[in-house]
Amino acid sequence: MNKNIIKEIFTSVGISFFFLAIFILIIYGGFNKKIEYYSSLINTVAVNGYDDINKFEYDYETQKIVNYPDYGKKYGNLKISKINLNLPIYHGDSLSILRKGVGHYAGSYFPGEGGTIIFAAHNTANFFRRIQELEENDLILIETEYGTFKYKVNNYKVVSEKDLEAFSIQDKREILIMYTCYPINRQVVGRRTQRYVVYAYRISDEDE
Amino acid sequence: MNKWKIILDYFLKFLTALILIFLTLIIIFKFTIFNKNYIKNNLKENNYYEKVYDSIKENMENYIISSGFSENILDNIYTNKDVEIAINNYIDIIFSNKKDKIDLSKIENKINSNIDEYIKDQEIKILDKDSITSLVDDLLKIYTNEIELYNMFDNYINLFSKLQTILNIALICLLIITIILIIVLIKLKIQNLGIIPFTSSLMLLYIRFLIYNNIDYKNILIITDNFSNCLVQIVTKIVDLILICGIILGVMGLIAIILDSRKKNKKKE
Repeated sequence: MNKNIIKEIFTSVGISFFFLAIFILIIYGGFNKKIEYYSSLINTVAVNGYDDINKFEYDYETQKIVNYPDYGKKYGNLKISKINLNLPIYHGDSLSILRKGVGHYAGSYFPGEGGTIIFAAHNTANFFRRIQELEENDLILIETEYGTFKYKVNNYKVVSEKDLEAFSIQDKREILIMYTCYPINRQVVGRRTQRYVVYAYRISDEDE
Repeated sequence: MNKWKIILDYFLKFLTALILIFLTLIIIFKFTIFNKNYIKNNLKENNYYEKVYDSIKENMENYIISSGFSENILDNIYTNKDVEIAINNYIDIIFSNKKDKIDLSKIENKINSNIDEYIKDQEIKILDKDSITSLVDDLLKIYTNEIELYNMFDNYINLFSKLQTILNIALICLLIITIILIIVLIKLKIQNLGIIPFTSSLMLLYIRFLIYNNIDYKNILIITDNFSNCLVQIVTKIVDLILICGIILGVMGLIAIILDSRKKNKKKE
């Protein structure tokens, strides 16, 4: 291939790159903000795989958890010796989580943070069927990788599933709310429109 | 060559290259995301129908745990084929912009029949019939939510239909403009037309570069895992097609440039 042909080819390719430069200028000049906006919109639904959380970071001074577990991850155990209960606690309360253990409502605080913690579980024999037997001053233990927390039962009642006040979240005092579908009696069939709720407040080792 | 002819030469080539990339992108979209059969084939390849069947089964079983009923009331209320038909019907609804809903009568009748049988077998006395009706409604909602993806598309069906129409109109318009431009280019005896596909190729490769570097499309997670996997596959396919079209146009353009250069050189000799 002689020099003239090569020169022609390079000139043509050069012109193409020149056109590309104009195209890039048009995009950046006219559409850059729109590109950034729509890219960030799509990237909000892009999740970079879950890292296995094995260790929590709990700040004892601020009483706040620094590394929260991913949704669906087990992070502790719920133990109630009076009713022989020992169940894993998962972050989240989807139907698939409730099949495995106690679901921690993701919008509530974590044990040790000083606010309302909400736990749910099914009303079957493996899970919360016997919470109806709990009475005032019964002890509840939550064991996590960042510490063990103790609670004493101080109230229990049946509420409508729509009674949001029964599950209100606050940050003034650490309260544990455990609930399950009611009636618990397996002879009653159908959609459960009520909840059996147990309230417990956190105690120190001295109070036990 | 006259100054204005050179400017016209460059302008027409640039314009044609631009139109060529829009044509390419429209054709890619028309044969992928706006093609009903492509979507259905993609779902089949990803075992989407089976995964939705399993997901419905799991969610219904999870739901029934607290109700006092055993899982037997969920026996044979729907099949894999029912789920596939329902999903395909829903896709047809999206593409045709109709306000139809999926037919739940068969499942509803089966659940009610199973419940009646269970109550009779267990000799259970029903004190509140409404709670049974509510339970059946909730189970049907689980089924519908999985098929219709929690009504995510309901708000966008109109928009999707409008986009389809716009795409069709745009395709026809661009084809007409392309033909006109080609005629003009030939009439004006503009040379070295290989620059057009080669420029289009560079632009397409640049678009692909922008998407690849700015949008984390491989990790999209929206509504359900099953749906997200299919969506990621479709988007990945579109991005790959942009790359392939870019390469093909680039090769075509380069060959045309080389041939044109040799032809010019022969004329000079």
